[in-house]
Amino acid sequence: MNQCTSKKLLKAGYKWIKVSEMVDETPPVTASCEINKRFPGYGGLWCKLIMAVTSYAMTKNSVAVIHGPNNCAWAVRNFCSTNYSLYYGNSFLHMPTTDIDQNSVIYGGGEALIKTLKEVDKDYKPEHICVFDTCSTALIADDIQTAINIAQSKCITKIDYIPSAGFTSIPLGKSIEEITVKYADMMDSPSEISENTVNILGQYKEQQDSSPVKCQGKRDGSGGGCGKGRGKYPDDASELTRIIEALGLKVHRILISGNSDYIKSAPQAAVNVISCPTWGIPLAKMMKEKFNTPYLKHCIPIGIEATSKWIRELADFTGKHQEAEDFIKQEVSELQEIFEKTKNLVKGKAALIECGRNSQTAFARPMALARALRELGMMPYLFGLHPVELKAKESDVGYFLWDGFNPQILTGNYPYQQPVDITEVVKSLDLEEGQYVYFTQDVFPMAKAGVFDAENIPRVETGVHLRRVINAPGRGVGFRGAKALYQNIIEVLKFSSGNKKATLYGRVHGEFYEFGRK
Amino acid sequence: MNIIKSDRQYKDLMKPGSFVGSTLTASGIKNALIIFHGILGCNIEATHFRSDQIPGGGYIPVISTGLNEADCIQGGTEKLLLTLRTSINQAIAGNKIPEIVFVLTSDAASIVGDDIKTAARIVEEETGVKVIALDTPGFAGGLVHGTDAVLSELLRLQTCHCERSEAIHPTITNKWIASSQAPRNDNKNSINLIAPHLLGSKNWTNDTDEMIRLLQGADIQVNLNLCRNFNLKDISQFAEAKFNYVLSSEELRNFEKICSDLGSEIVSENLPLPIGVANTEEWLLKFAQKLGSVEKAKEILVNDQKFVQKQLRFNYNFSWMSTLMYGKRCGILAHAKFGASLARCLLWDFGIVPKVIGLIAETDRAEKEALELLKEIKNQAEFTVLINPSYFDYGNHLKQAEVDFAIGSIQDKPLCIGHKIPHLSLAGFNFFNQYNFIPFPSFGIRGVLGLMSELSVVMEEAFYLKNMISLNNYESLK
Repeated sequence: MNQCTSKKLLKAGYKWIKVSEMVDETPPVTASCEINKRFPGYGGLWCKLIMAVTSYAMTKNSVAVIHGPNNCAWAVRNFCSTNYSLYYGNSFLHMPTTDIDQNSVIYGGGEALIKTLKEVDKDYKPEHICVFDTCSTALIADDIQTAINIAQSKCITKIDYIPSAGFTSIPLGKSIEEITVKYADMMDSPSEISENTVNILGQYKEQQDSSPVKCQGKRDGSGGGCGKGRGKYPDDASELTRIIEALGLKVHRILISGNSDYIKSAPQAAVNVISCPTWGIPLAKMMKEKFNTPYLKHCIPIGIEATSKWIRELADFTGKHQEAEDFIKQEVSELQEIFEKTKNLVKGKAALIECGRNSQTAFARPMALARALRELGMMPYLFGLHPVELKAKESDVGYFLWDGFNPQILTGNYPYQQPVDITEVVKSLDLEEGQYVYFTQDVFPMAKAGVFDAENIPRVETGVHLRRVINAPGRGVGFRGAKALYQNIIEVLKFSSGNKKATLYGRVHGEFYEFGRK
Repeated sequence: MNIIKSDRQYKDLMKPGSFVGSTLTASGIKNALIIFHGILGCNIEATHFRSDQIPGGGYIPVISTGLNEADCIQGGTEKLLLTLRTSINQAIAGNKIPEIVFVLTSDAASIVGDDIKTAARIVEEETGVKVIALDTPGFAGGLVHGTDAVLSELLRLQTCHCERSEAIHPTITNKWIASSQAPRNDNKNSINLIAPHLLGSKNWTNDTDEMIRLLQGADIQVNLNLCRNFNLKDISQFAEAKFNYVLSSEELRNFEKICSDLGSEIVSENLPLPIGVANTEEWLLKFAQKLGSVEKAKEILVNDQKFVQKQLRFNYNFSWMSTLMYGKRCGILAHAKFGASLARCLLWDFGIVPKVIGLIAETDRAEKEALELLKEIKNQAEFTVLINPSYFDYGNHLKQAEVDFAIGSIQDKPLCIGHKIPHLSLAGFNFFNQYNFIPFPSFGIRGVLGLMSELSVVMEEAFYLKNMISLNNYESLK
């Protein structure tokens, strides 16, 4: 396959290189001048406040106090109340604000924060309060810790603080790294370690609790591998819990989840395992540093091979080799037929994996997916990831390179929030219809009837929030995730080869009627 | 009617910031361009809310300057200049010249104090494209503040356009100025609709269209709709309207001051929004008495009545659902005027008792007018009114009142679900997953069909015993 970049992309400075090369040639995230020069207009996607508060939204019986204008909480509310709550089952997060105005911006908002904390403690009677600051209160340098200390002396509820001013640590990976380690501050040193217990770190959006997960699924698809209350659509932790329990181990904590006591006692686990590396690795490192909790290296196990490695690493640590091998053998044998069928269909094809469409931020999940697709004999190509966002995901990059996975990625001066034209991506790889499958991660997948639509280009949706498969976890981890991925691939290939009618989505963005096509 | 107003320092309610109000207003202007000078968290909020103007409207680009941490220390004016120049020059090169460019700031840029006015002036002189810079941080106020800022600037343009002789760029003639000389109509009984996006209805675009249809049917000319699919050149026609109708009753202080200076009146009568039959009849006839033809108003009302009756008379499903919803109890959390009008509609038209009414208002006038509207039902039902409540308070009142369901916006849906109260999103904004793709109103006489359909969905949620059916399923006893 000729990888000479098409004229259009070449003119715009794009090229296919290895992930490690893209990391090397991107300036450090702190090199503002260089970044400004090379990527004008780049400024991240969500702010640190949004990431911080949405992570806290996974805790229970807690109140997030936003020290800033009401609008800042409202910006977070949009995500918390819609996507995060309605699609992930998180409870409604109460997030009172100090509602600072122009006067407070001049005179300071410390007093308002103290008063708010006292009122919240009295009115809401929460189990935990966490203070989040905003651009305004950080820029005017309110002494938040002192205000918290003053209020704490009058409050029953424990108050913590996660610095979250929106203008700081703009690349997503950087802000997540700084946020997730703060949860270690909410933990106590363990008085004893519970044998054969495991924490799952790196859970984001999907609130979990420590309810044991039944291995036996019901005929309607619910129950098997599903966490309590999650019904037919389990999360990653549900599948990882199923695996952990199959090894005769017990899940101690799934973080970030639970109430204050749940988080506090996390260091009692014997070992930390990781689901999402972006959220999980920095917290695991911090827990190792603070509490000497060991952690395992394998993350986000999508595909048979990656899942098996993830299990064997855990088995090596806990001495559960026989249980692990028995479980893997059983699960893999059940998957063998569909795996082979999928492999026969896609072997040699290119997998075009979009890293978040407009957001240009997704890396760990596309990489884990790419690794699983390589196992099927596909050639993975990642595109649509902003170089600065890649650079900011140091932990993720480190993990995949350590695992020996270093696929091709499209680098260039991505214009901010403007997806590259996939038809040009296809041209740059000299691909013809039938030679590739398009893997999307988010809203606004590329579709233009008559040119590029699910009718002629197989499109697999892999975004956590939009991809829902009964009895399979959202990100597709574990054996059940692998099975769902193979099923999806088979279905989209069938759809695109057998069905020659464009989707409405494609028609709206492309040629509406067949009679209008050239 | 029990009225409770929070005395707490903290606030936790629906209050998007000034830059959201300004973005929503500016994105209703055709061929505008918005340069967002702020942090990306604010930018994404603004761009998301811009989505409200898209169905049936247009796509107005919101381009971020990409302010980062260093810019917040060293200042971001250079970035702003670069973004302005690049965006406008690219547009000129592509022959898609914006008629107006807005520079909007959010909190960080406003505190840093970047000289946005100078940047706007420089680039305007260079390119000939009108650039308006507005300071719109969240700490300055909410939607009303940002809306007021944009509308006031539009009026200032209108008042000073005669002083401006020609555009600097030879290919750009500031079309709105050139074409602003001739009066468009001589109907002195016309009105301008002001800030429809503050209406409080998730269906505000279709509801505004229905209001326009009804007003025109009553022989009242709607001169301008500021700002929805708005042609900038039409701002020159602004003063032709006899009245300006601020749909939300929120006080737009600066805008109204300029109106006053122009001799352009604000509708001062406290009218309900035309939600449901009784409100619509009152609303339209009062407008018609003042500005139009009562006879024609009655004519369109009768025509709509026939349309509705044709759908509902002898209709078993309508009878079933009307009977089911009668006497049920609900909560409402909405913008003040919308919430008060909806409460009247639910009680009068459907026999649903609004037990808890949470009113969200940014200015005293909106709050006062909403309370006045509710006085008309205070002897028909017992209810509690919460002024700008926190979600926590509102949720607790819903529980205490034992409501059958609640009406609000998508953002308070999980609050109600958490309390096991079925929830219907009618309020707030279209943005963030309000799945109504049918351009049909909830307002007006015809809108009762839409309301009936929406209410029926929440009735199903409230009264279908899904869990019990599932537990009693055929195979469950085996």
